[in-house]
Amino acid sequence: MLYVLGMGYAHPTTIISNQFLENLDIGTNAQWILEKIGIEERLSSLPIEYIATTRNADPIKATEIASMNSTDLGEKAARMALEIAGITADQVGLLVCNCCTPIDTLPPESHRIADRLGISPEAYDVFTACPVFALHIDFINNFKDEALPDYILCVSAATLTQNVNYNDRSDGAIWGDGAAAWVISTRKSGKLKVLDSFFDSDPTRCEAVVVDRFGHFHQDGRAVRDFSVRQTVRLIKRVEANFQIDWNRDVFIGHQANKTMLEQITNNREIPPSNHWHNVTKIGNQAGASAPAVLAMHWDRITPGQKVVVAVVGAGLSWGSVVLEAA
Amino acid sequence: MLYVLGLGVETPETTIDNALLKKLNPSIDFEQLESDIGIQTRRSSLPRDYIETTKNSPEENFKHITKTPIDLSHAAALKALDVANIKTEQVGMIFGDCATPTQTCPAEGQRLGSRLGVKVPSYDIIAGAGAFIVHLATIFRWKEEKCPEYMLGTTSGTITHTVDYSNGMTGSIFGDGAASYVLSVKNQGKLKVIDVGFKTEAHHSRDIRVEAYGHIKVPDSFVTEFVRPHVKSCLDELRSKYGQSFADARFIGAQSDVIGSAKAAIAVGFKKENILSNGEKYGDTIGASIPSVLAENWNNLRKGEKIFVVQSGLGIASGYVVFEVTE
Repeated sequence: MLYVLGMGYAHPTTIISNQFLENLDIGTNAQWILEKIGIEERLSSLPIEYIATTRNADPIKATEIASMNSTDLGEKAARMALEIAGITADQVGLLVCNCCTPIDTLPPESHRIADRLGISPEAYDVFTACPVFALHIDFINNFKDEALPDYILCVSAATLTQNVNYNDRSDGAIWGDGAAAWVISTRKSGKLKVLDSFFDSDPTRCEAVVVDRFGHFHQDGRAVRDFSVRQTVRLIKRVEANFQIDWNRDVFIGHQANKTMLEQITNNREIPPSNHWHNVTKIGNQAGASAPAVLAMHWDRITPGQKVVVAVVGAGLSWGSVVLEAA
Repeated sequence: MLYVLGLGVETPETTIDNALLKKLNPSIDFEQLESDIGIQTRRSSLPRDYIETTKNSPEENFKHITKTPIDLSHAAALKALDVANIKTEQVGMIFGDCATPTQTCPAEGQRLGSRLGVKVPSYDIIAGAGAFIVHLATIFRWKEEKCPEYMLGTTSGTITHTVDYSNGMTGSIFGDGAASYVLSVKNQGKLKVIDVGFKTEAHHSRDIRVEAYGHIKVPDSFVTEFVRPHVKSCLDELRSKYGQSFADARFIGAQSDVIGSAKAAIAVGFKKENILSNGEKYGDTIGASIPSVLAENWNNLRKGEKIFVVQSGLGIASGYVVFEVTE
């Protein structure tokens, strides 16, 4: 049985408000953003003046000016997760990361995070961007118990505001930067027991969401949005059919891409707002860190016996779900 | 039990020989390097005249490349499927690795799935030079019931795009290439995996790396002070378990150091005629290097013999695989 023993999160501090985006004069306004995507603010590692003056025309220069990179955020989240799990870094036997904005393409992000923590466990990246919480849990669930160490540390980090073209009225409104981390074990019990994990993808649609290595983020927004809502609903229905979910007690966490989309999903499944946990309105879409950061930020609100359903659809196109039960 | 059913390799067409390297960087004695590490030529997907006139700018060269990593992976995958005698629609999972992705999202495994037109779980397991070993180690450690019938792995890199041909000796070591492999735990194949393992040394992420937006950064002592000692220590560990098999077994070492790896292998008991390599022609192709040697020798492998593989390079301190040839 796989358990989640501790979680952490980290975000930078520059606030990009809807009013700031309106003032860029790129054909959007604060009210429209709030109504259409439900985001009020997003957190960025770029200085606000830099965005205002350059619109981030050159993502390469952004890396030189940013206050934090993915590794900085990932390290912070990892340390929080280790502390909450009550273990030291040198007890980690396997470190697995996910990062779509690495400062180096080799070695993998897991090596940089391991170096920051002063450890050298087996380390590699398992990468799919957005639904990575489900992928990492499902990936580890595939291992024979005897092949795993006592503690596995998973980290997801991204600084996508450094890849946004702030002359684009839609992309600038979506993204925030962030990292999340989780300590898992099959040998030690923890606060959350993994009841189920699932991951799948349709790579024939992978060009729908892209981060060009020497360029900006771009996506087929409408196609991705519609698919995401439908597929997330399918994921939740699958969970509801296999587990006794009571939305008056249990909690849903979706991909933090867009609050309006999330409300379409929760309305469809009749999930009350009090049991729909999110952070997108104040942080924006943090890619793979999004859903686990929500769970990490609500760690102390989890009550015994409660189930947490995490269901995410994102880049790849890939999707996954995890059902957790609180001890 | 894990089997490799088929392997495919693809390299681009431009040949970079030592005469060209000397012309671009007269301060380095490339003839001496050749006699030390054994690399005579390497392949690149940059046009030769582009390298000659510009010495390579990673930010600009993408306009000139003849083949992207996914072009190479795709071609290698079709060959691997052909050798394994399976159709693309029989592939149940894809995992990728790419040292120099053109897009940092989606995953290279998803790009390959798109090229093949399959809708299966696809993501990346990123480990650089250790990718083939880490991919095998992962499946080797998974529960059999979690594995689909056929899995397709791929690793690629166009490292010459990141080389600064005006400075240092990295141009002498690295070449471009991709390898793909069909794996199964449910169907027997030519190569049975007997044993596999790897080690990470995270602090090397500071000085042995490929910048996302810049050049490959590797000290001039990369082969002598990193690769060679790690290959030797890995061989010493293998000797304690398998030393009695070495005299009749084949050996494949780090292709960044064809001569040094061969010497180390002979010192522990391998016969010179049983040492396989292709680094002389292709240089170090990162993750593709080891599987490309296997692919080239696929029809010359003898039933019942063992093959010992030892790797050290960008993304892995050391790793090994022990194969037995079954057919």
